[in-house]
Amino acid sequence: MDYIYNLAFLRSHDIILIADCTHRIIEANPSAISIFGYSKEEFLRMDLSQIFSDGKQGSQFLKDICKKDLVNLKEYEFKKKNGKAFPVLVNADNIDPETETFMVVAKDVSRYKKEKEDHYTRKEMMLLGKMAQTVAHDLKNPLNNLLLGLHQFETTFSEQNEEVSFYLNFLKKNTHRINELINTLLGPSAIFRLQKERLDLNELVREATRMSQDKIQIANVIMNLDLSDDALFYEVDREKMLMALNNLIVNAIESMTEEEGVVYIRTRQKKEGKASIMISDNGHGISESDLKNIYQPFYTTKSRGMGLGLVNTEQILNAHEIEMEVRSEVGKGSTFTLYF
Amino acid sequence: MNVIFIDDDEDLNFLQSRMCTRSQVINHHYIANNAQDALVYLSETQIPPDVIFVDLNMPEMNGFQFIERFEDNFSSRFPDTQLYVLSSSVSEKDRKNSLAYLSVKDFLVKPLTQDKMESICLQQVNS
Repeated sequence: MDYIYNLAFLRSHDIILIADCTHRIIEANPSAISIFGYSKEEFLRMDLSQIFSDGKQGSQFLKDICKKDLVNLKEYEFKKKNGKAFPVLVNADNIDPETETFMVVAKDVSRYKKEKEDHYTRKEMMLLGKMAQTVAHDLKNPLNNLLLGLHQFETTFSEQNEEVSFYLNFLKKNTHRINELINTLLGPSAIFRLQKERLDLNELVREATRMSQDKIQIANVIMNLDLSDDALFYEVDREKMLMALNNLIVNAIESMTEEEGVVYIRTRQKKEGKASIMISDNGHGISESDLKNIYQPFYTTKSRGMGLGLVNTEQILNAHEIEMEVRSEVGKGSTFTLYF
Repeated sequence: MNVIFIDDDEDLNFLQSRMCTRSQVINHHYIANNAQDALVYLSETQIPPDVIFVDLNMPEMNGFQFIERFEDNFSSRFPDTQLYVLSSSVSEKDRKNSLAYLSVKDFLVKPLTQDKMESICLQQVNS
């Protein structure tokens, strides 16, 4: 029977430590050794509170187990030999009151915790998206009134006075800007109804580039189109794909820091009827931490952005089942590649 | 030319009413803040309406419900009346559902400018 107990101790996936109330670790199972990274000898020389990433938490645990005899399914944070902290769920029981010896069984829950957090983040984002859409929809009515009022004003007065038409244009321009922003917010709900037609990707790239002509000129960016010799026909929704490509091109243009900004767009036919569009820039690039968030709604590093451009782009591409790959290096630029 | 507007946005109604008053094309107009008022007007009016512009998202009775009530109770009395759905919604579903009604001539996205409103009315006169 002892042999079986011994095997249970040796083979357990959970961390099992035996310690006493002088804080001494008496025994550590192989899982504890591999998860913490300490050798058995190191464990035996350690104070039990050292395995906690917060010393206070450690002494509280020792108090609980030595005074109250039991710690039942409590969450703690342990620290590996390399300093890395990880969340654990701990059960501890007194095994011998005379020697004040107790057993600590701990389960590493970092994966479970991450999944739970991701789940909540996704839920939060969905809720936020819904809220944004409701707000956007409610803003539509007063905004339409503004557009209508301005239009009527314009037809009545703009020809009479230069000052009037100047301010009127200014008001109109900004009202339209709000309208565009709201349409972007309302956009995702309409995105999934694709109206696909057979279109040449090269033609779409040219068109999307033309849409950004103003921005290209203002930012003084060189647009370098390297399109495949043959037309690339695919079934896509023209408006949506133009929106996606335009978002990527505008991002590339707006990432420029220096005078010599170059946006390089390459389309290629690949094997087995596949094709790719690569949009590359020599702008400021995206840091590793920002890269994780580029598809999060309302995440933006631009002073004038809403943080929805790439969210929309990703949704459009997903609806088309087009894959997008992002590579970026801070200070060197970014490359977005779409695989058809 | 008699035109009815049904919308729960009072500012819009105020503006729309003014545009109708100023219009050379429209002689009569009735602005309803909700669909129920419009139904009451329809049952009492002596002047047949030529065009009805109706919003979709309204509390209590929405645009679709109004259209159904109109088709059930008034389309025989006012066979020439054309309905236009006027909405801020750009949803394809709303558009399709609106156009599925026999009495609905078109689905219009707001804002409806005076020019547009008048050209719709003139089109109705000529048809």
